[in-house]
Amino acid sequence: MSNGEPHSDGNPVVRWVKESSVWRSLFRQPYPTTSRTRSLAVFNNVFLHLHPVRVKRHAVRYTYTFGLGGISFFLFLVLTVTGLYLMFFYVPSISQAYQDIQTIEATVAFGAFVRNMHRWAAHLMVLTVFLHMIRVFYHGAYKPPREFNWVIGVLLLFFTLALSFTGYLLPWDQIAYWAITVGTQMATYAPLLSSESSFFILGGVQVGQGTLLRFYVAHVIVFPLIAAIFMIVHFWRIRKDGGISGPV
Amino acid sequence: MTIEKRPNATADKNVLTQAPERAPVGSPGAGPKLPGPPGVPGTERFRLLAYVKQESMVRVDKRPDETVLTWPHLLRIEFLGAMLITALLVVASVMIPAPLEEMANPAVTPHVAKAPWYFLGLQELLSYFNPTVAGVLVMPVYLGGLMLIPYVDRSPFKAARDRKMFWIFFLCVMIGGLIVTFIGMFFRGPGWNWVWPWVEGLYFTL
Ligand code: HEM
Repeated sequence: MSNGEPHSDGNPVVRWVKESSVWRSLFRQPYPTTSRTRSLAVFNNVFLHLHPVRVKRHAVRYTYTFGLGGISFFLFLVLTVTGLYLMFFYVPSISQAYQDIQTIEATVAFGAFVRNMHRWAAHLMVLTVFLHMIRVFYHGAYKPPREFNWVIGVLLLFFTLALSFTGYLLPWDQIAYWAITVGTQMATYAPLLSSESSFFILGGVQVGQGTLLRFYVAHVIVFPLIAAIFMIVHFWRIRKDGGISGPV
Repeated sequence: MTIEKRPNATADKNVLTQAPERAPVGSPGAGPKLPGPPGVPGTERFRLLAYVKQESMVRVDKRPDETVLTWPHLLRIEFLGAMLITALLVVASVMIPAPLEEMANPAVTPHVAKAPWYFLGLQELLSYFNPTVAGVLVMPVYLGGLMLIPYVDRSPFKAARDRKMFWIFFLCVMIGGLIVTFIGMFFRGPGWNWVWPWVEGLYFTL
């Protein structure tokens, strides 16, 4: 990687910036090149300290995890950012939502691109979460002490599906409308629950304004928040259970 | 920078597998010596803002052959992975437009109404069984069954080769799910009748 020449910039402006107290309050050490500074770089950074300073050697083999959990998390971040952008141009009303999507597609800067990315990332995330689960099962990584993290994982699977499903309605086109009509019918076949659960999910007797608003609120705040909280617990538990399982 | 192969892999492996899984990171005894003082070459401009004594959290002195430093080994992989997925998404988003049909119209029922793809296996199952049974049972049994796995499988073995039956069973469930999902996606057309996608075309949108 670097050759022990972290910031020996000949350029006086660069040197002036790097020696200023503002820079040094931000970056408390030069580019890390020793074990000690590399450890501190991870340990002292709020984002990086999600990780331990050292990890098991086998855990960084591509073929152990295939990075699937990490990719799922990264896709969640991509979805958060792209979703936020779309929110600026979308109103969850049955008379406006469809037009808003058309406007996003046609006139909003990068609108079509961001919408496409949001959609493909969402489909990909469902896939990677499933594959991650199969990988974890294959390694028997749900065994003690990781039983509970597996349960958290199943909840994450559920919320991933729920997020994807609620988002599917928002374009308010024929695909969306009928997919959600069929999908929610499946959920409401329960004999005793049927009318109550259908009303609870749909906010009415059929897919309509109540449903759109409900799904919107669930999609942009309730489910992402719950999923994020469970992800925090999921990652925390990985650390507390002694890091990644194995080697098998 | 590559990670060298350990010379004595099997011996180390035993050490690792026998290590108690529950031992918290940096438990006493496993604690490292103090990190060396500042002044290592390349850190001359390091200004010491605070020196926090960290006996057990920063495991700088851990034996180098059973662990690797997160920076750079893990972070590099995560960065490359993120770049790869980003590139994939950018290419997909430029090339493939997300579908958008006409505005929703409750009065116009399409030829075939399909749920999103990950529920199409379920929709396919509903066409076999009494919907009150299948609709009520499949999802809770599926998710509940998954959650119960760690509490049902109490065998101490982890490797798939040591628990063949359970692994094969799990794979069968997964592959079964995949098959019904594929049927729902590609082989069901108007009225949920069987179609050959290469003859009648696709009745499926992502
Ligand atoms: C939003 C969904 C999820 C995210 C973002 C996520 C993220 C992660 C990450 C980053 C890891 C570290 C190792 C790796 O990358 O494989 C991990 C490990 C783990 N995950 Fe997930 N996960 C999700 C869903 C699930 C599901 C559905 C299950 C199981 C039903 C699960 C069970 C586990 C277990 C047991 C571990 C520990 C594995 C080990 O020690 O080898 N996770 N998860």
